[in-house]
Amino acid sequence: MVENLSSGAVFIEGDQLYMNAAAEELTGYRGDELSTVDEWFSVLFGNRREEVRRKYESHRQRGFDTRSTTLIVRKDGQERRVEFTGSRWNTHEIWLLHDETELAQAARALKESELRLQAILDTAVEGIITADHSGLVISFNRAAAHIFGYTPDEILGQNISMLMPPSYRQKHTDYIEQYLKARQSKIIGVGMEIVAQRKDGTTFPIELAISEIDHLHIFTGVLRDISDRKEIEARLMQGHRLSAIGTLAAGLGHDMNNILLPVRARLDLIDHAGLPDAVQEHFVEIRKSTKYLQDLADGLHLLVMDSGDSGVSEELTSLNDWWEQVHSLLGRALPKEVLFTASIPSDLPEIRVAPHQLTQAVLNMLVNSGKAVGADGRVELWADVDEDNQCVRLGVTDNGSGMSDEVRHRAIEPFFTTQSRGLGTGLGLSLVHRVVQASGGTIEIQSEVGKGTTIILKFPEAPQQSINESSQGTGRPPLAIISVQDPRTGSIAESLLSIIGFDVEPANADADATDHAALWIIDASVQAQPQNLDRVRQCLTEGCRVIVLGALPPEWESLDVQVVENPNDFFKLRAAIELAADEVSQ
Amino acid sequence: MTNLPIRVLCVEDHAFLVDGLRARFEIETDIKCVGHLESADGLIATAVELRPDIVLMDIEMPGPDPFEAVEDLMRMVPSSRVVFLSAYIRDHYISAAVNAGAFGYFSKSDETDEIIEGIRTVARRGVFVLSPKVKARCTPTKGLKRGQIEPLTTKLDSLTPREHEVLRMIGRGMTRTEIAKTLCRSVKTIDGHREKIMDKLDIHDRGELVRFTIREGLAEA
Repeated sequence: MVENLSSGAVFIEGDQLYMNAAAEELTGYRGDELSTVDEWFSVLFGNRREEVRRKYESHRQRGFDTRSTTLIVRKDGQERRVEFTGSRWNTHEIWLLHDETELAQAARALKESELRLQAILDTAVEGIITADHSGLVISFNRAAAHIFGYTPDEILGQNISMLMPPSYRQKHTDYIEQYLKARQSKIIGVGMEIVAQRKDGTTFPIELAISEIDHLHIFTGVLRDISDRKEIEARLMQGHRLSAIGTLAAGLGHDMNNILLPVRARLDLIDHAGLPDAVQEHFVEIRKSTKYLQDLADGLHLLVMDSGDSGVSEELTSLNDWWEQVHSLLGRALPKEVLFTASIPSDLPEIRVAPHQLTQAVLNMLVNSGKAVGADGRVELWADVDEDNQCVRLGVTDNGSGMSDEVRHRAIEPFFTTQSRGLGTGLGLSLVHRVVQASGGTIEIQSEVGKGTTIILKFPEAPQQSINESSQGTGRPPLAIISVQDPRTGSIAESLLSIIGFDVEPANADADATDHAALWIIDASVQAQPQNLDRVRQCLTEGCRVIVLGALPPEWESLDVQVVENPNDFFKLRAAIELAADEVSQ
Repeated sequence: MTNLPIRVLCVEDHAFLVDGLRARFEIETDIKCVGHLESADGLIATAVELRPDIVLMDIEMPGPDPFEAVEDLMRMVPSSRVVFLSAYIRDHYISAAVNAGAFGYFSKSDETDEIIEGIRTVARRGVFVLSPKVKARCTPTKGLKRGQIEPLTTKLDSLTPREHEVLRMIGRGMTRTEIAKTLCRSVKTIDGHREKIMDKLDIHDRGELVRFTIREGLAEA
């Protein structure tokens, strides 16, 4: 009977051991080579023989109530994994042997495959979650754990809806049920943006793509946290909105100019015609109002904000001149009942910030202060020079509600706000910070709850030397001589020279007024007189710069002069004069 | 010069602004508004007919490119001198005005007396005048080096008047078909202009081009 069994069988009688053919094949030994129990244990188990023998004896005493699996070493040296099932029959024992080597190998391969798959999933940047048809989580990779703040142990076997805000959970469950019934979906295989919830209860946007393994009814979700992307998108939109508001405001200012010019022209006419004393007072008030509107319109163009503005500004701004232009506009940023004062000294150094950016920054600071102060609120705009740190300080101080330490620390974060966002410029202090950073400066916030806030922008003094201070310590602007025949060209040069800060004197082509000049602008009429070549040489020797308008004759080519071939080229002429001014001031 | 009144031709699309200026000129015995055009269309014919001493010209108007029109006027009627009177004070407008041959650039926010005096100075002395407000907005650039003059010319300056016009239309959000229709050109020609503009401005996509027009204020009109 044993002989005919297809699986291995061993028959024990006393110390004698008999193997059937299948057992011989499994062990690789013939029956006469393994004929006793002692031989069996000493041959098949190598140096584990004692241990296996003890186990056998223990099983035997318990009446072979359990199965055991162990490794045997075949005659050819191969190891096989064998399951033993022992039983007694009268005074005999029968062992049934089942070769599990392939099964064990398959199980190990499966385990390895699972581990490899998990490793792949764990190295993925995206969160990957699988759930069964009832929504229970089957797998949860490392990225998902990182995104949601749960460990896999905490989430495996739980309903996937716990990764959603409560308001979405029921909807999700209903949806799955409906899908499994109807097998129609608008979301399977389609990417979408939804809101998810972390372990700590905070919600955040994710991008999610769901696919289904049909025959297993398993759903796989690949997701990524898009909070950063959403913030950048929101910032861009905000930037575009700012830009659009600025553009709109500037357009409004320009349209106001189209209206105000004829209004002012007609007021001149009325004034000229002579007014009865009774209405004179009203007329003066109309003039004042018109002037106010004109100042407002002039200030509006400074609101044009380029969302792409970055880097250190090339523009120099005199705080005094800037305030002159924008005081009407910025004063309107505060509620009427707030007492607003401004003190901008006239002798402050220039700072390197574009006026429109400065306007945006201060407008935001004033709007914030206006919201923070109460009915008896006071807001002051002030500026001074911090001699120790060589910077110009521009500050807004209010007696408003102040900020807590937490708010103060977070105040310059983009989109951080303590109030609902309305039609304001939105980015608030983060924009202010950006502006002051772009000019190489810093922002300081001093605040105490219930007492008020002071925000100070510290701009480094622009490293520049005024052209007026550079003319050999005379304190007078350097002198430029224009020897240009064409009145239009000469006057264009004159306009540019006066903008840049030169004193200008016209001179004839043969005049010798160049003695104290820092710059001499000449045209073909000067070149036409041969003696002027030596005069130009002499000027250059004495440190005077020379700009030649028009083509340079060959005999002049060795001279260190600047040439502007087309005097109508405004930018080139301006750049040549500015370069000369820079060289003069060094 | 003679004592004859200075003859001013206004080229301005806001009729009420011209009416206001015309009324203001009445106070002055030496300045007279002799005509009004709502765009630069027909400028040369009108200038030939009216022989104005001064053409007081707006910039942001419908119709032909004002700078191109002034260049043509300077060639055909050199006795007329152009003074721009614009709501916009922009470097590239001032530059284009000078390059076109204008004699002055004033802002509509200038005092009326300053505008009158500017007209007088240009007409009587033939010199170039910038108003004080315009001068104040022309801030000098610091830190130039020899040999760096070329890059300081604005990229916009490298555009032809027609390219300027197309760019402004792009800035206003007009489609290529609309631009083609407005300028009586084919869509292909407009595409060619746009390619050249992007090339000259070193701009590589259309979104960037639109942002550029916003930044340069070309989208406001």
